[in-house]
Amino acid sequence: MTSRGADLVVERLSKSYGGQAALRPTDLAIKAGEFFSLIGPSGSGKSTLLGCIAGFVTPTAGRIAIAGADVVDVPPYRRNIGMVFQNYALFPHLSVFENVAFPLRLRKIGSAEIQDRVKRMLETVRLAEYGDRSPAQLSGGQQQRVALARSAVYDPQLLLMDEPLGALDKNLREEMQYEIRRFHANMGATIVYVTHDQDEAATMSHRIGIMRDGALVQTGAPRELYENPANAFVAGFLGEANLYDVRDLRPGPGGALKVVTVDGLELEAEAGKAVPAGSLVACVRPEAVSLAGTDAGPVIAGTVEDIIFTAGTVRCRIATPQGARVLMRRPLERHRQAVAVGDAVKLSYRPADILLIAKE
Amino acid sequence: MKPPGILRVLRPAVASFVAIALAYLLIPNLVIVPLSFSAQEYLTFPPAGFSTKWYARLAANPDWINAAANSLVIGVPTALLSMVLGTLAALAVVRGSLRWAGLAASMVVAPMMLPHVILAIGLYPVMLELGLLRSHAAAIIAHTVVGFPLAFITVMASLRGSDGKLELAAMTLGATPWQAFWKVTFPAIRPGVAVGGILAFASSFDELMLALFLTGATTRTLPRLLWEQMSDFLTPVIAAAATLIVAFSMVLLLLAVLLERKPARPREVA
Repeated sequence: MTSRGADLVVERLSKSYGGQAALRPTDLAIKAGEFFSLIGPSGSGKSTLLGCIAGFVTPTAGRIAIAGADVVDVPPYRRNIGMVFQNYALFPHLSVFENVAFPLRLRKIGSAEIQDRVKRMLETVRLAEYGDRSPAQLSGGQQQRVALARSAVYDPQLLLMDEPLGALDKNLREEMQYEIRRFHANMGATIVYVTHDQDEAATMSHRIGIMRDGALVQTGAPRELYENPANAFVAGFLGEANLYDVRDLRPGPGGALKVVTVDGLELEAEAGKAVPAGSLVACVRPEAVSLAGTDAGPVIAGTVEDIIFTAGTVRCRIATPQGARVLMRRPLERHRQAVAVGDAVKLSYRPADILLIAKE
Repeated sequence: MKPPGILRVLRPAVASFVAIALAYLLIPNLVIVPLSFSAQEYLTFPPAGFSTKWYARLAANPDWINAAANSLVIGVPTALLSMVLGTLAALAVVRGSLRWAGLAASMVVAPMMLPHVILAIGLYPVMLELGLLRSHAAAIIAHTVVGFPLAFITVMASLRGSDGKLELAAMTLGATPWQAFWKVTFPAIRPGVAVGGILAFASSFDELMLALFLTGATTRTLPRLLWEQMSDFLTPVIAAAATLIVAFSMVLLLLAVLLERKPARPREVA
């Protein structure tokens, strides 16, 4: 049972509460069948945007079109969307089966067909045996699978998910991420997924939209956003980043561009790339920095200040004589050429990995 | 879970305090019970002898039967009206986006705090003007003013205990607001609505002041008849009637307690 998802277009959509802008005029286009995540800190407007799409929030201005049809004036119950909530929102007085059957009964579908579709849906989320249980008898992950089944059993053209895994612990989250991806592959519905977990967004989505202060800062594929962040906020929000305020740019040796940072660091960047106007920030990803080997190239000298081990990776924080901090991340295995806190080290990097991006 | 040390030491003391408090609350209501089995011709304390003749006499007197019927004819519509109004008001205050929700809630509850005699004095000329004085309707209207806050409070409590997201979820699944209420909200608040109805009925069933002002000879309720008999004949029939009223009220309250405790059960799969 594959359904074609609908495309979603949002134009100049805004919402303000008593003069306070919760969502600044926002444009967004999501393709049919796409898995799109909205991420951002709390209060960044992602839930407001989702609420407008669901129909719970009446926008102050702007347009929303689902599959080409304008829906701003359409109440939520006639938008034919599905929604999954963080706290599952299962009906406690109905069995698992009846929860999933709920949208079908509202649509006056014959009881034989309901039996059939609910059964198949429960099989899809691997809860075929749990039909007679009460939601309270299920674990958090199982409840969210019921909610998933309930939101998709009537083949909605658009599925909205509001931090669906926010209440689950880490291992279960990862299992459910896989579950939702598989589900998306089976159903083919368009999904708009809200989360504040950047890893989750990167794992699951075709594209991500990063929000801040009620505005969409940047949209793009996870890799695109990671490699070409629009500004320091995006760079810092999606993954780890060394960010340095730039004081000066001047021509360097061999046609390179020399970057002088506010805290006195001197970096070499590739010349000839377009540089945004206004205040600049130099961004270096921690994995783009390594201990200098024999090969020549620009280096940063400093002292190891701190070493943190996490599963599979080692993070070293290095302090330069000027007082700047550089975070270096590398796979655990290569740490055999051990460094210790207090060691003087030289860090090498490729000039192409120094990104000059807008501060704001 | 063990109680903290200090409470464990004080436990016997606390238990006896609770027992005394409960006795203080209940015994005055129960004093009437032995009086109703008195063998004497008028009310005396302590009662002497044993007889059930006062109950027989009660059953034989059409005045008491009519008063009981009046109490039901007034109490049941009062309960129904209170449940409807209380539910609507609670929905507005808890789920609505009223700017003055707190003030609205206080105003709904106000009639509970104000002396009934003031309400009675205010309603008397209004009912007179409307030609409703001494009708069942007058008492129903007056008792609903007092009963509606009770239902409001119990429904509000169960609404607060149920997740508002459920209604949003129902709407994304295709339920109109009306369907969302009946299929999702109402099952969740049903115990609160029922308990509110019972409390409203009980308050009407026990109410004297408004009944004195607004009912007449053919519409008088049990408390009013009790009151009138008290001033005319001091026989143990009064004690028998009072005993039955107390018993009935206690059954209602017990029912309310049981309803509040009953957990929601999922419907069987067809």
